[in-house]
Parts: sequence; C-alpha cells; structure tokens
Amino acid sequence: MSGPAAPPDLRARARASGSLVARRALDQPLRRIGIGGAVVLLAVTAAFGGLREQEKDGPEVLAVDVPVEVAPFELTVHRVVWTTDLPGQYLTDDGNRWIGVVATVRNTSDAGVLGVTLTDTLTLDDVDGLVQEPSVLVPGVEASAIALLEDGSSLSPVQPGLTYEAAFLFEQDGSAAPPTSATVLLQRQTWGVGILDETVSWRDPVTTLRGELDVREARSSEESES
Amino acid sequence: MSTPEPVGTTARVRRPRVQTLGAGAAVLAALAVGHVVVTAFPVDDRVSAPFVRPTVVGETVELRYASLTAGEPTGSTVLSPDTSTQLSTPGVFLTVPLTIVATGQPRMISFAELRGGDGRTYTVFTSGRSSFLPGTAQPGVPRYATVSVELPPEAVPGAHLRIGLNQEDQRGDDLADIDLGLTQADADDWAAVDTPLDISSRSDEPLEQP
Repeated sequence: MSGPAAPPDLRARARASGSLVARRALDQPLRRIGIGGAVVLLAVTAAFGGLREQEKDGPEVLAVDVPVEVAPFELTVHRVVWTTDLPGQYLTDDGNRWIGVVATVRNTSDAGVLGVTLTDTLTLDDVDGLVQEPSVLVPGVEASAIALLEDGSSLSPVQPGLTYEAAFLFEQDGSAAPPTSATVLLQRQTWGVGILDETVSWRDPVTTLRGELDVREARSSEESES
Repeated sequence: MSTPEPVGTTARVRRPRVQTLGAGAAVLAALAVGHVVVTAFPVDDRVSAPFVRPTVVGETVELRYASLTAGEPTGSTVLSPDTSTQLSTPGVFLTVPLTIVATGQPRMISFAELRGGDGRTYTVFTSGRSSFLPGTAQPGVPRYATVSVELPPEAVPGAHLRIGLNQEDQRGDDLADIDLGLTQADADDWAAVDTPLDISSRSDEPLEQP
C-alpha cells in the first residue's frame, strides 16, 4: 500500500502551521491524490462539454443529385468530369487538364459570403497528380477556381436567396492518367469567433459528407445533343 | 543536510484568517460586479455601433470623412463591367452611381453592403460579382464610382445601400444608409431585362449613366 505522497519535512511544516486542510492534504497517499486529480480534471472538461455525446462517428455517404446542408450552403453534387479545354479558365501548363465537380450551390444563411468560404466547403481527395497542394485547413485539395456555368465568372460573393450552377475546378498534371473515380469531401462550417481572433466569420470546417464518385470525360453540348 | 526553516515562516502561514478570507471575498466581489457591468447592459454594442446617417437618392449626406450623393439606381439580369467579362445572374444586378467628395485628406472609401427589403444582407467586395472599388478620393475633388450588387428580385423593394470608410470595421464611425426608394415594379422590370448594363466602376469624371 502506498504511503503519503509528500516528503516528511513538508508534512512536518504543515503540522507546525496548524492548518488542518494542509495537514490532511499532505497526509494523503499518492494513489488517492492521483484519483482525486483525475476526477477534478474530468469535472473541468465536463464543464466545457467534454462528456457531451458525439453526434456522428464519421462523415455520411455523399450521393449525387441529392441536396445536402453544409452550413452556410446547400450543395447538390451532380457529376465529376475532366476536360482539357475550358473557355475563360487557364491551366498552368497546356498539357494539364481540369477535373470539375459540377454542383448546385445555395447560400442558406441570411448574408452574402465570399468565395473563400465556398472553397473550404468542397474538396477533392484520392486523385493522383493534382497541381494544388493539399489544404492545411481542411482535408483534401481545395479547388483552384469555382466558375459559374452560366458566364464562366468566379463565384464570389455567394449571395443568399440565389441558386447557382457552378463547377469546382481542380487542375491535374498531364503526366498523370485521367482519374476514373475521385473522393469528394464536403465540410460544414460554424459561425463564430476564434480563440485568438475575435472577428465573427464562418470557420472551423468539419467534414460531414464523403463520397467516392465516378469521373468521366466531359462531353461538349453538341455531343450531348446527338 | 536539511535547510533550516526561515524565521517567520510560521508567522506568514498564521496570518489572520479573517483578513485573508476578506481579501479573497473582495476580489471575488469585484470580479462579480465587473461581470455584471459588462454583461447585464449592452454597453459594448452601443459604444461600438456605427453612427448611421440616413439619406435618400439625390440627397447629399455629410459624413465625417466625405460628403456622399447617390444617383438613380438601375438594374438588369446582365452586367457588363469595364473591369471584367460580362456577367449573368439568376437574380438581378442592381447598380447605384455615387459621387464622393473627401473631407480634410485623401480617403479610400471601401465599405458597401446592401440591406435587402427581405431582411437579408448582400455582401459587396472590392471585386467579383458584387463590387465597389472607388479608389482614392482627393479632398474637394468629386470622385465618381458605381456599386453593383447581385440579389434576388424579392430583395429589391425597400432595399437600403450602406456606405462606410473601412471595409473591415465600421464601428464607431459614420455610415451612410441610403434608402434607394425601390419597389416591386422596379424588381419585375429588371428581372425581365437581358440587355447588358454597361457600368464604369470609378472615375474623376462624371460617369455616363446607362
């Protein structure tokens, strides 16, 4: 059985001080102090939500053509295609190609948000040769551009109350084979302030949906019609 | 060898308990009073709120840093800015010409947002599909600029345009709030128009009105 954790001279000083609390505390065995400390630690973490039940163990499965809520947006992913020619968009090397995730985007908040928030919302994974480095803020690789299908412009700001058809564009090195499948990750964000930054914004992206989707070569509108 | 106990240790430990407890209680009471003062009254919000200066189209409003006059708003579903390619929208583009005369020193007015009649806020940035970038206005020299905002037609009636000096932070400074005087008829008209609306973003010369 373990004895008192405190050294004898410290216990003697506590006795001399006449403090009952100090004497009792220093007379406790090490094991009891450890258990007490663990209980206090658990109580402190519980006060900040440490014992709150987790909602999900991991991301849900993403399905095409099904609208999903990933705050502050509602996204409907339709298809993933690749192409070497996209009017108004410029590859860093002529031999490279675009991989585009075509989606319907709606801002469901009550204020417009800049495109950077949308960039954090949809990322790509499990594709060889992506030119863009993996993000440090979210899992996967962020899009190089998000272009509106209607006019090719960059989708920013994303205003509430409007429905946009857009392509999240990822550049792939031409030396890599065109992918036949890709993992699309969707991140939900939270409106609030940071620990060190008091600016209120959409932040703390968490992956809530993940889907391995087929990738095919994009067809021109003439080919689609025929 | 054990270190001899310093003289006076016992005296320090045996400080009058009432005095110690009193000091602790005083500290806790001060913290509690501070917490009540900070949280019970919305002092922070009121102190940091911008000074909103209401105005209407055609009427000049005097701000701390400039005088500002909004011209007649117009709209379309297609926008042809001088700084980018032609833009199309599933809603409407609303444009408002502004005349800015800086006060005292050169000013770079950079904040704009639209409070829609539907209660939502429509963000305006220095570039992109909703933009405002007037550049530097020299004191006494009128600077002309156009705000363009993409929004759904239902947000047009009752919309107010807000203009401020600092894009990041409008707290504690003048903020123009312009009632654009728009109606449902304006929204319906603009939603039916697909003629490109040519706009010039900024100039020291009066802008040509579409």
